[in-house]
Amino acid sequence: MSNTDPQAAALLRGAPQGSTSLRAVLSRHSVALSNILALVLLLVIGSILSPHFLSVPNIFNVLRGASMVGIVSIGMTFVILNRGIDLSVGSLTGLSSVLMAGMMPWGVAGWGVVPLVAAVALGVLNGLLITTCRLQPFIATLGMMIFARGLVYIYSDGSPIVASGVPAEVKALGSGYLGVVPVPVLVFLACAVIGHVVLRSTIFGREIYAVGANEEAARASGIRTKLNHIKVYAVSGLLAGISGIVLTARLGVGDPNAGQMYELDAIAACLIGGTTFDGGVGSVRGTVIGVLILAFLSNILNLLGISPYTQMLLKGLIIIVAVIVSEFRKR
Amino acid sequence: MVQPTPLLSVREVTKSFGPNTVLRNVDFDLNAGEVHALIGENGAGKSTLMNIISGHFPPTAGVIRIAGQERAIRTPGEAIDLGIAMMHQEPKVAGALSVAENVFMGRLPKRGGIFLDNGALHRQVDPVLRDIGASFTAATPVGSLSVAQRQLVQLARAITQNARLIVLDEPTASMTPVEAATLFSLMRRLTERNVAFIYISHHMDEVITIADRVTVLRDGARVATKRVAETCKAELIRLMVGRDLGSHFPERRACNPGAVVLEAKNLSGPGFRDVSLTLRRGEIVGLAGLIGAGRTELARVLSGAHVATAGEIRLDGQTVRHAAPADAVDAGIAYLAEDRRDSVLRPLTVQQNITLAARSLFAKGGMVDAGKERKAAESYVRQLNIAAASVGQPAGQLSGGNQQKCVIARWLLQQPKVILFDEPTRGIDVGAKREIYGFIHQLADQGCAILMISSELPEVISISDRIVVMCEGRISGELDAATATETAVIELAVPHSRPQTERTVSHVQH
Repeated sequence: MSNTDPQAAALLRGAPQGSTSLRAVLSRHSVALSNILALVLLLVIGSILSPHFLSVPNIFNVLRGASMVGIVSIGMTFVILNRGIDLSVGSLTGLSSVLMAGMMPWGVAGWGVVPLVAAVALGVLNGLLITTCRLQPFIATLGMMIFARGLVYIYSDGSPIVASGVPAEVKALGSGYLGVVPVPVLVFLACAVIGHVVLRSTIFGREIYAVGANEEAARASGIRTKLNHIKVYAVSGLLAGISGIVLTARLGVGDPNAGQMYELDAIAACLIGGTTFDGGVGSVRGTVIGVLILAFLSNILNLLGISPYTQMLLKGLIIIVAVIVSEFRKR
Repeated sequence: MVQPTPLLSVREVTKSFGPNTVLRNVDFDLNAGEVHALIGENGAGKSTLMNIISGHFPPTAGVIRIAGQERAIRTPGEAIDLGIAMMHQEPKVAGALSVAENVFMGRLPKRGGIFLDNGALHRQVDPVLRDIGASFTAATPVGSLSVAQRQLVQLARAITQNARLIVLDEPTASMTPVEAATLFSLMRRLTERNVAFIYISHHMDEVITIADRVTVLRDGARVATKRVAETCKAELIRLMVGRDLGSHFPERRACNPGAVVLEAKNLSGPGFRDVSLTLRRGEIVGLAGLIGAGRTELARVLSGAHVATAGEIRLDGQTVRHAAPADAVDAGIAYLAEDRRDSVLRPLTVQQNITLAARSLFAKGGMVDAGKERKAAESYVRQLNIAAASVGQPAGQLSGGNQQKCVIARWLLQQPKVILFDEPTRGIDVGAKREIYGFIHQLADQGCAILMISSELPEVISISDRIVVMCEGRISGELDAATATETAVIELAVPHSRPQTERTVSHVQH
């Protein structure tokens, strides 16, 4: 009985067009827009305060420094969109880092495959704890964070593992350049682009948004929500593993303390970037901007000679302010 | 004859939520020491009226007088101060705390200004518990009590608050006959002390046993107030349902049911027992019953959200066991949840809401063809007349009716063999309701087998081809919709005599 009167339909659709559509467009894009503005403002302030700030080497130094946390943040975006949290990413970065250093003599199968497999496996374990054992994501990944760090210390005996016989391609991965762009920055960029495409244009991405927005509805619509959770934590583990590989390639050592606090920086980048803990809202684009804001802020504060203690204080403030602003925007 | 000043006098109370008026000029009086029953179909406005009296939300218009004085009851706290207590069907208690702490929550006796005076607490609570015949003590943790016992905790709380007016919402729903009898004798003793009760129930027998007067609500308006001595069960049922079938239903369609698609055989699950049911191609089966009759629970088992405890489900003659809704969806069974909050993805766009279930149709190798997806969504927005600025608008910004249409579009697109609609038009305005009825008919005409759970009797009778009625977790009868009357349906839906064994029905809140 689709006796759709075309005129009435046009009226119905036309009526809200003027009033809500502009508001809808604004509200959908304003989070990203205000963040881009904040980033631009930061760059302007930086270039005013220090002549060295806007130089190519400084910019890429900052970006390279932010790459490792940036890669982890992409995975964290997946998890938070899915309405979860992953506190274990820093420890998984550390695990990947020491494994890579220790496995260097075994070639790519050693330094490339083993760390990634380990990180993904523990990510899957996170997902299983959350779905099959019904643990809260916070609790499951808190346990994993401590457990995986324990593995790191056991494997490394608590001291840095110096990678022996580092092949040229690994050195290039850490310290190489493509033109003026450092390779770690390219890896971060590649992860961001792939992450963006996966979230926006694949069935898997759609399912992540759906599960995050309303798990019950997603389940009723035929999405295998348990499997979805497991895949999401596996992705987070994978990206933590990649971050650890880039880190060791850059440093030439597997530091057992590598990746500490990454989880918090990654969560902060997601929040600043407009991904909400309510699930289903957010984007990789926002997270990348969040990563850049945090990185340039700390660079500017360094250039100004502000102590690390004060820097932490400011960083904390900015995270809180960013979330308050986005909360107000919702009302 | 001189009328005493009523303890509670509600005059011309109206309540609207946005464009929906759920209570219209309702009058209600309650005298001290009286039991006044309030009956009506689901959605008649009973709970709304009680929520207004107990301060959960204010009336849109109208006056409430307590003992002759006009009062604005703005919060539940103010209601308590006025001596009004509400006993909920699903008691709101803190499970980890003791009975005494729950009874005195918010006003615990202190010693030395800050310390909890446990001795005083128990000295005050234990006599009250003895008085109401409770089998537990002040020190018992509430978490270890049954639902019925928790209701006694609520009652003890009301008594210690010196409540003059106690609202009981379906109190016997989770009680055994013995517990119910105990409650009634307790109520009688309290009325001798001038405590008044408002008693909400679907059980006509109970109403006639315990109440002095009964008020019937229908569609948000008061239909009648009767002395129980001057009425009977049949009259009350007729008052509850007696209305002409609205003209906002589409014409009855010609139904030529095809082969059996879905078959439940002696199926049991949480909240229902031994249910056998068949759904045929192109047939709309209405599932009627009271809230808590086990209808939603049955649908959830059929849709794979819960696992059956006994019996079997056959789809196209093959026995199936769905471990998750995804299995049921893959097999061609869709479920539209009773609560729209469980089916709409509010932050996501109209497009994503519509294409959610059929997402794989728009993908190649896991990549979504956004253009194709958008076209499909737009065509359904047109076809279902969904009022949205664009398919990119977040679904949460649409009206309830349009949100529901998005969910229906989701399944139209996915084309399941069986659709289980759970209260498909709840909280939706009349215009959108009519359209949704049209879509349900359209789906059936296309060969879909439809099970429609509905608590609106006119809807069940007008839309269905066949009506199955559930009562207390079992199927209590089946009617041909073409000849069924509302009275016939409700007689099957209302429990007639209390069962002798403890009930297994899980009672779902409104």
